[in-house]
Amino acid sequence: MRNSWAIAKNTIAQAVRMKIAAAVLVLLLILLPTMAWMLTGDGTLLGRLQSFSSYSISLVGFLLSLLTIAVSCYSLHSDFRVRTIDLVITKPIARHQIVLGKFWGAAGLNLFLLAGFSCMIYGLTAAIPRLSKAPEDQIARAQTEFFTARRVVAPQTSEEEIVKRVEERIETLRKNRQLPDLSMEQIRQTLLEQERIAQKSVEPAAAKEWDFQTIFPPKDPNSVMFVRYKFQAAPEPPNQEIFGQWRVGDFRQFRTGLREYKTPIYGLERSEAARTLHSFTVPGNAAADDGLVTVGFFNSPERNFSTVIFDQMEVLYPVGGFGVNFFRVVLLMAVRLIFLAALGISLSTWLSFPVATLFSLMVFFAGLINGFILESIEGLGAVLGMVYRFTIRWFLYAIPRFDGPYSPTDYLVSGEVLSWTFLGKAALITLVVQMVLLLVIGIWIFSRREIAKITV
Amino acid sequence: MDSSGSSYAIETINLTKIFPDWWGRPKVKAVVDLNLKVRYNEIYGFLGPNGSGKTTTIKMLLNLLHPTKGHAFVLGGRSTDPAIAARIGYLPEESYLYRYLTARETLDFYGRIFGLPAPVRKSRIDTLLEMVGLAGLGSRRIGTYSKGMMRRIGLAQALINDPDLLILDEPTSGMDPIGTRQIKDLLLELARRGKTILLCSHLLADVEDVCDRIGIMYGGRMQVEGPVRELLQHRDELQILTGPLTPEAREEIKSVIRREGSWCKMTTPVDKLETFFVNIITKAQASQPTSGAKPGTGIQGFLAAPPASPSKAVLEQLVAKKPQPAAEAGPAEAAETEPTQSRPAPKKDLLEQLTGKPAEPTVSPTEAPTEKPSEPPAVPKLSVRQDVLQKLLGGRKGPDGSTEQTRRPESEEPRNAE
Repeated sequence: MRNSWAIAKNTIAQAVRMKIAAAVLVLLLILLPTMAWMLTGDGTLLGRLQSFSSYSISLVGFLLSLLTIAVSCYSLHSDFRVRTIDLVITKPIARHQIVLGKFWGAAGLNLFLLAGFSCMIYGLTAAIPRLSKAPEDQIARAQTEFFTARRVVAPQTSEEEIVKRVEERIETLRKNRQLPDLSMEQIRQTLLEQERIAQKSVEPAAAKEWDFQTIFPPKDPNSVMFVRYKFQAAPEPPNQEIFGQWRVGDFRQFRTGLREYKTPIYGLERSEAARTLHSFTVPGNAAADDGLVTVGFFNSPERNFSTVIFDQMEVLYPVGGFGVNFFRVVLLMAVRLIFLAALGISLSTWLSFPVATLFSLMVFFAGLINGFILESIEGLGAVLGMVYRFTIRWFLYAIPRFDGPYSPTDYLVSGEVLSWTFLGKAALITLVVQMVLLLVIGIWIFSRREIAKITV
Repeated sequence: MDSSGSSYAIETINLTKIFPDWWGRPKVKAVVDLNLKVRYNEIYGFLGPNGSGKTTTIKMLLNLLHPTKGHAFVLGGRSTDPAIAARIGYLPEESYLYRYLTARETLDFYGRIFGLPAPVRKSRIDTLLEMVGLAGLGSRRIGTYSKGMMRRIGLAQALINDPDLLILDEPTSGMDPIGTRQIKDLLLELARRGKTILLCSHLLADVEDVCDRIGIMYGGRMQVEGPVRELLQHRDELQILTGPLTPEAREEIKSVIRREGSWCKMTTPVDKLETFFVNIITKAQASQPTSGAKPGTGIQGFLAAPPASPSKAVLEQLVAKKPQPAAEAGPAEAAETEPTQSRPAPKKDLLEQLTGKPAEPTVSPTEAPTEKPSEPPAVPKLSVRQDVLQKLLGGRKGPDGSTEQTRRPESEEPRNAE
């Protein structure tokens, strides 16, 4: 531990003298305040906050990731290049302590910088509402949609029900001798897809309801919750907009014929463009005491002739404040940096600086689109799919994901809560499994290789 | 013998290193079946031309390279053992130091790895910087140092842990003659305090000055090994050094020798260039400042006490002779009858400073008036700063304040290699 700390300190001393470190530092010190001042988003306070948080977190995460890769790949390589490792290795220090010291140094420096710049972003974000002199309504909206941490709840979907229907359809087709000339697996897969789309579709003059469980907004008369959705229309309406009638509340009350509702059911009408994320606010008291909220949509035939297919439907309600959520987002970024430090150090135990850097960058960029690649490749044909399953698929599963739910930006921009559970899971997989594996491999290689330059 | 039970500080058994080509086929036999044995408490000169396998051997001793065959033991164990590594000081053939660190940070870094407590580290860093003549330059980045200054810091890092075994690869490479003299003097002092030193150098005069035994490598094999004096001694010749003599007295001596059936050659002794250089620089230091390493604050500082014998040359004072029969005199150079230098006995003040031990009260043979060969021009005597060495190395004093003798008495020469 003592020895590793000495190595870590030395690694930091080396890293802070690297030009890339100075460049990153200066760039962020200049860009972050400039962005806070210049970025205006859609002109509203909320847009401005979302733009700044999105760009600033992305920029800090990206630049510090590059710096982490550079420092971790360079540190050990530099020791080999100028042969300082020859001297260090002869001291009473185990080789794994050298590797761990380098890792702690590279990770520690970048975590320190992350902490510093995160404080800066937090301070600037908090200052924007005061500096922008926005009207009260915009400030209130920013409070409810940005300076909050909202839990996202997806509707209950009964996969069992879908499967049951598919089996019924297969049975009907078999009886009628209408089964296509395909394998049963392909038929079942096709019907499942059809059934799932049908579950999301609302034809003209039809209505659809989504049940959401465990929604418990704060018992505050002013508390609100949000319905967020995205749809497409087929065929496309002439004005690209869909008119819909919405109801939100505990529908069990009118289903059972209650004369007086215990919780209100809110209704509203909206005309909105397809393929865009929309949301509306309803008071928090629409949720039943047992946490059930039902959202209903009626595809009015008077205004629409298109089938509306909902790609996304969710309810959000506030569960915490911005500060703690911001802290968790920073921790998610820290997980990424720690992994990259381990990756760079591990690779540099046996690869040269350029090769280790290129490989690390490849892993980093693959991680940024890992989820997208995995989804895309799953739809490959039989032959390509076989090749993929035995090659790149393993690589993609071995590297961590930095996109989708692992992207820190989305949480702040949409004011979504990043739960401790998810953060812990990400840290467990990325750090305890992937990072430790990398470090063990690096230490194993470093402990067995000849250190000295071979001169004869 | 070490507490581990081994008789040797360094021992290799059939140590072999073969470098393969890309296909794994043997390409170069760098070291072949080397059986090297370095006893505790001796200075061993490891010699050989470039590519003879010296550095490869050292790297195998320190686990920087893996032997193809055979075994290498250091201080009775493997150098991979942290307990063993903690007792080794190593100076590689080039100063592999972090150029972005200052000298002080460098020593602090290595001190931390050795687990030295902060106060001890600080004390030793101050002492070592002073000792190597860089006390005023400790806050300068090593990247701005000259090669010689880097060697000084390299040596300081090798001493930061007060090692029992010092492995020095070309320690005086790139150093000026004064620095070289200081290093040699320090090695002698350390050896007198019980340290074992493996010295690898191309500068044969340096090796000759300080080593008890030498081994000469060529082609990866040990060609010859033995005590320096024994290997270099002209057993069938005798050297007599006197003061000025009249021509008549010379003729008389010659006639006596002729009567004995032997031959005789008389010349006037001359200084070594190193001695001459040291004299000139020592005088210059008194009147002119320098921005580089300052020998006056380092070992030379330790050695700059008022001379006990003002008429003696600096070199001769540093490398003192001991009285011995003329037949045991060391090698005489071909064309001159220079005073024979026995195992040097440098001043003890320096080591006292580093070890905390008062030097044992030995009487320098050079102080005996009857043994003085000549009276060269008066120069400041280089004396050892014992307080500094004592601080660095720590000392083991007896109840009466006497110092534990860790170095073999000078009269006891190491046994020859078998």
